Amino acid sequence: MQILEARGVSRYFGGIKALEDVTFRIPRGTITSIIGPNGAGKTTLFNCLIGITKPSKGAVFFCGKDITTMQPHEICRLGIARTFQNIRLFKSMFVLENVVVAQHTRAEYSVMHSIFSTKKFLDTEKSITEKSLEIIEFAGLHEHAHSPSQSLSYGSQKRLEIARALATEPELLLLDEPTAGMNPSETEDIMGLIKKIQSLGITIILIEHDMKLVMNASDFIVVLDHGVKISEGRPDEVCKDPQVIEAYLGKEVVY
Amino acid sequence: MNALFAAFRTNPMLKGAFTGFWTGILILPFAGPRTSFMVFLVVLFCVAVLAVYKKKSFSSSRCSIFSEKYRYLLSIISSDLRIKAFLYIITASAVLFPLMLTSYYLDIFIMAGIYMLLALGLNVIVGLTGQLHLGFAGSYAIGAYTYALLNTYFGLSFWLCLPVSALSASFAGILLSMPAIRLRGDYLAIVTLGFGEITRIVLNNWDSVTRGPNGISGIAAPSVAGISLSGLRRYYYLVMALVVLAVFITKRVEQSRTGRAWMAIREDEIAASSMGINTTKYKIYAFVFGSLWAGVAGQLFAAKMQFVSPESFTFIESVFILCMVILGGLGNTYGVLIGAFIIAILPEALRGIESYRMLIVGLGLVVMMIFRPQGIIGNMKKCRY
Ligand SMILES: Nc1ncnc2c1ncn2[C@@H]1O[C@H](COP(=O)(O)OP(=O)(O)O)[C@@H](O)[C@H]1O
Ligand SMILES: [Mg+2]
Repeated sequence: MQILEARGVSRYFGGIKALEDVTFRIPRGTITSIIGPNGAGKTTLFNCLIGITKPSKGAVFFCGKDITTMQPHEICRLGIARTFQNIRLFKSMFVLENVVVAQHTRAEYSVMHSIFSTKKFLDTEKSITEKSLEIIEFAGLHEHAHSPSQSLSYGSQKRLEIARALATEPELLLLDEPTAGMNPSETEDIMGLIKKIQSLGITIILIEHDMKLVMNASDFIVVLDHGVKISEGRPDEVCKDPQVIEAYLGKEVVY
Repeated sequence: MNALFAAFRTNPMLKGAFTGFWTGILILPFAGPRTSFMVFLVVLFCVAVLAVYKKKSFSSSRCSIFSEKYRYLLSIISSDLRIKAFLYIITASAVLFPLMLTSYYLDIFIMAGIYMLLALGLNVIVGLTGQLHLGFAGSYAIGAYTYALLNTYFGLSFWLCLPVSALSASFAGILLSMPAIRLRGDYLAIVTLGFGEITRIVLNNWDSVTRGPNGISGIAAPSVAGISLSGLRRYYYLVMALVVLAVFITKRVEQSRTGRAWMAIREDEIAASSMGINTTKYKIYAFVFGSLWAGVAGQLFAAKMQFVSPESFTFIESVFILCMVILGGLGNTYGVLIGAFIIAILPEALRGIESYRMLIVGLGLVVMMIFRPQGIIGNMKKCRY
C-alpha cells in the first residue's frame, strides 16, 4: 500500500532540467532516503511534492489523490509536512509559538470565538498549547519551550523545525538534510528522533548525505543525479549498483 | 561613529541625557520651557542612577540573595500585570483628562484618538502581517466620504452609518488586496501608494457626487438618545470609547490563530504556507481587518470636522500614519498607540517653531531608527504561554 506516488515528475527552470521524468512510490510506514550529489534536484523534488513549485510535467498522488495542482496549505492539510534545508523558523517567535502556529489547521474556530473569548476558543487554545508542549518534549526541546527560537543552537533549531512539522499532524514527513552541519553525536540524536517518529506510524522521506545514516536507517533509497532517477531499491542493492558508484565516483573525475 | 552609538547605549550619563532631552521635548508644549528643563534634569538624573544601579546589581555577587528575591517579585508582577497596571493608569487619566483640559488640547486629543485608530489598523497590515501599505489614507478617506455622502444626501444617522463606513473601507481593502497578494516589497509599495492616490484623485474629480476640491460641508455630529455629542468633551469620550473597543478587539484577534497566521506570514511566507496557512486568505483578512478601523476613523474625522475635502487624505497623511506604527514598534499594539499619540501631538507641540516642525519630526524618527529600531516599547513582548 503506497502513500505517495510521483509519476514522471519533471521540473525545468528555463534551460535547466532540475528534474526529468522522476517516478517512484513510497510505501506507507517506511523511511525512504533520497540521495544524490549537490544540485541533483532533491530539494526541487520536495518542493514539487508539497506544491511550493509546480512540476512542469507529470503528476503527484498522495493516498491515491492527485495533488499536483494543489496549494501548499491544502497539501499540508491532507497530511504532508516538511522541514527546510536552510532553516526557516518564525524567527521573532518563541519556541512554543513556532509549534503552536503549526497547529493552525488543527485548531479551527472563527474570529468571533476569539473576539468574545468563548469556551470553544479557550478550550482549543489550551489543548493546542498542551499538545505543542508534548511535541516539544518529544523533540527533546522541553528546556527551551519558552525561549526565543533564535536563541537556540543550530542543532536545536533543526529539531524545532521537525517539531513544528510534526505539529501539523502529518502522515508523511519530508526532511531536507536534517543532519547537515551536525557533529556525529548530534547526528546520532537526530537519527534516534527519526526512528521515534517512524514508530508513531509516520512515513518519512529523507534527503541525506551521511551515508552511514542512510544505509542504517532507510528501508528504500532513491538516487538522483542531474535531475534523473538513476537507481532505487533497498540499501544493499543500491550501493552495489554500478550507475550509483559511477555517479558518486564520476563526480571526482569531472572536477 | 559606532563607538558613539555604543557610548549612548552603555554610558549612563549619555543615556540619561538622551532620554531626558526626549522627554523634555515631549513635555515642552504643555509645561513651557522652565518646567521642561526641570523635567530634563530629573529624568537625566533618574535614568543615570538607574543605569548605574543596574550595572552594579548584575555584576556584584554580594547582593545575590536580595536580587534573587527582588527578581522573583518582579517576575510575579511582570509582563501581563505590569502592562495591565499601566493600561489602567492610562485609561484612568484618559477619562479624567478632559475635565482639566482646555478645548484647544481637547481638540488635539480627539485627533490623537483618531490617529490611534488609524495606527491600530495599519499596524495589522504592516506590523503584524508585514505587508507594506503606503496608501492607508485612501481607506481613511473612504470611511470619511461614506459618512459624509450618506449623511448629507440621505440624512442617515451617525450610528447607522458607522458599520457602513467600516465595511466600505474594508471592501476597498479587499479590492486593494487582489493585486497586493501577488506582490512583495517595492512593487507592493507602489500599488498601495497608487491606491491612496487614486482614491484621492477620484474624490477630487468626481464633482457631481463629491463636489470635488470644495469638499462636503454640513455633516451632522452624532447624538445619543437625542443628546448631541458635538461638544468637544463628549466627542472626546466617544472617540476614546471606540479606541478602547478597537484595542480590545484587535488584541483578541492578534492572540488567536488569525493573529498567529499573520505573524507567520510576516516571518516567512513559504514556511507559513507549508504549515497549512492559507497565505492568500490571511493577507486579504489583514487588509480587510486593518482597513475597517480606517473606515471608523474616517467617519469620526468627518463627524468631528463636519466637513471633508480630498486635501485631508494626501500621501503625506499615509506617511504620517506609517511613522506612528514605526515609532511605536511594528506589530506592537500598545506601542503604536503611543506612537500615534506622540506623532499626533508633536506638530502641535512644535507650533512655535512652525517652519522647522517637519524637520524635527523627521529628525526624531531618524534618531529613533538608530537607537531604538524596535520602537518605543520594543521588546516588551513576553511568551504568553
Ligand atoms: N528557483 C530556481 N530557479 C532556477 N534554478 C533552480 C531553482 N531551484 C533550483 N534550481 C536549480 O535546480 C537544480 C537542482 O537544485 P536543488 O533541487 O536545490 O538540488 P539539491 O537539493 O539536490 O542540492 C540546481 O541546478 C539549481 O540551480
Ligand atoms: Mg537541497
